[in-house]
Amino acid sequence: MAGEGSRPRGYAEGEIDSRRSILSGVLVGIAVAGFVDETLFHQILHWHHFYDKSTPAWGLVSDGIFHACTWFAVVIGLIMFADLRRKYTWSKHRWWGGWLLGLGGFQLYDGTIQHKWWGLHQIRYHVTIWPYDTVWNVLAAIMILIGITLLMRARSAQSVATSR
Amino acid sequence: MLLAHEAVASPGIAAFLPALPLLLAAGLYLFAYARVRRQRVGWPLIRVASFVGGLLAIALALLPPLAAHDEQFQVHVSQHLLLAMVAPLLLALSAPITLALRTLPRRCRHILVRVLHTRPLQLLSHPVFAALLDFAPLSLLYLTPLYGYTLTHPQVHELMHAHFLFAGCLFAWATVGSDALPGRASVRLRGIVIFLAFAAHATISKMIYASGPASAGVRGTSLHDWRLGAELMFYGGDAVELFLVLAFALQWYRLEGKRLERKTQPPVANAATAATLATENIRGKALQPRLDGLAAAATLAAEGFRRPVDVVTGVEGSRTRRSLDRMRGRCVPDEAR
Repeated sequence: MAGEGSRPRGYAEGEIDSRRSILSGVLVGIAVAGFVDETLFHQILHWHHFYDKSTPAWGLVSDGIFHACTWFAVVIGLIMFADLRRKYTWSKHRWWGGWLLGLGGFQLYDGTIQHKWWGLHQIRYHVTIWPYDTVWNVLAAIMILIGITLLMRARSAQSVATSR
Repeated sequence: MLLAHEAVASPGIAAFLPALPLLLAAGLYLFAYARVRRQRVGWPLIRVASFVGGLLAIALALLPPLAAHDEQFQVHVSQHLLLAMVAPLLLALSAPITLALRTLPRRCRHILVRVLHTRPLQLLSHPVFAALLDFAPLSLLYLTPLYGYTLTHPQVHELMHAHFLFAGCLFAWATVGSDALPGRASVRLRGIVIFLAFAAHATISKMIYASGPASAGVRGTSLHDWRLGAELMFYGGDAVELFLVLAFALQWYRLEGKRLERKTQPPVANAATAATLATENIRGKALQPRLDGLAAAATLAAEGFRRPVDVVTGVEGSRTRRSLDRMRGRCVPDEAR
């Protein structure tokens, strides 16, 4: 490879791959959401269970897809991140913006569609559920908003100056 | 591969018969490895380890003690994971077909190349077909009384094991195989198939958990044991699929790295660039693309290798062009040999 610290000649100075940075961040964000769900709620708190008996058949399918998402996303997202770094085309703001979007977006999807509309499972059983739901969805919305702010800031910073 | 009929009761000598074809395969691979080491471009030792590891996984699944207790559902699930997921992944990553192409005599090599380009094989090695062949019987087997049937009929049981191994190998070769088979699907398609396979495995495992042994036609297993087996299938499948995704992503990473190196090299003369391109899929110490690639190509030419393509197949420059012409689908006049 080219010498230490010098930019690979295939990419111009300051050139960043914005699409891949965002995608990599989103993937890792989704993966983190999945892992927090698995470890915190399944293993530590035992609020979620391996198989919730009220789950309809297609709920199992969506569970399976969600599960595959988690593993797949973390591996692909991190390898893409490594690739961006070695090409010096990584954009910090875009990556973290994507990360927050992925994390918050997945949490919001889980909190609204999976818990409420489809009723696949709840955050916790045998308690009044609305405080849990509110905190869950509000946190998710805040993360999405911060993510969008970061992305917009990154785009405006790029249009003002050539640096990221 | 012939799978011998397993002994029914105590593990007598007949129970160890499945070891014979495995030992034969290991012997062939090691013999080929010894031959290929003498060639200019070597063979990574980790591939040998991977092949032996895959054979060990098959041995673990088919020999006692595991095979002696396989009426228990958890033991059966471990066998399934080993035969259908661990062993195929390790075997596919060891690139035995490429090794064969490097070490077989010329005649056999041409036959192999011709076979690899036939339509049926292209269909078999397509990721979508391989995935369907792998996962559709999986749901049929455990969610219908078919599984109970295999427990009472030993021949069908053997057939089931053979199917696990065969379908698993097809899937592994089609998605992450180190043998770059002709007509291999794109990275995107393979990635999508791996993702869907992952999801299907998780879903089917949970369905098995939910359905219970009665609907699979099994009588001797308690619901608790059945559920433990289903969870083992879920988490065990997770672990192996993780390595599958990792292998896939790392292959992509390596390919991108080679593309990047090509982009960053200053333009060199044709011979060196051709040598770089020719070694795309081979990891050989003598041929790492460097700025002095021109010198390396000159050395090789001096030592009797006529073209980079001869370096790829590693033979002392014989009828490689005919093989390549066949690979490209051009007509080749029959040899008068």
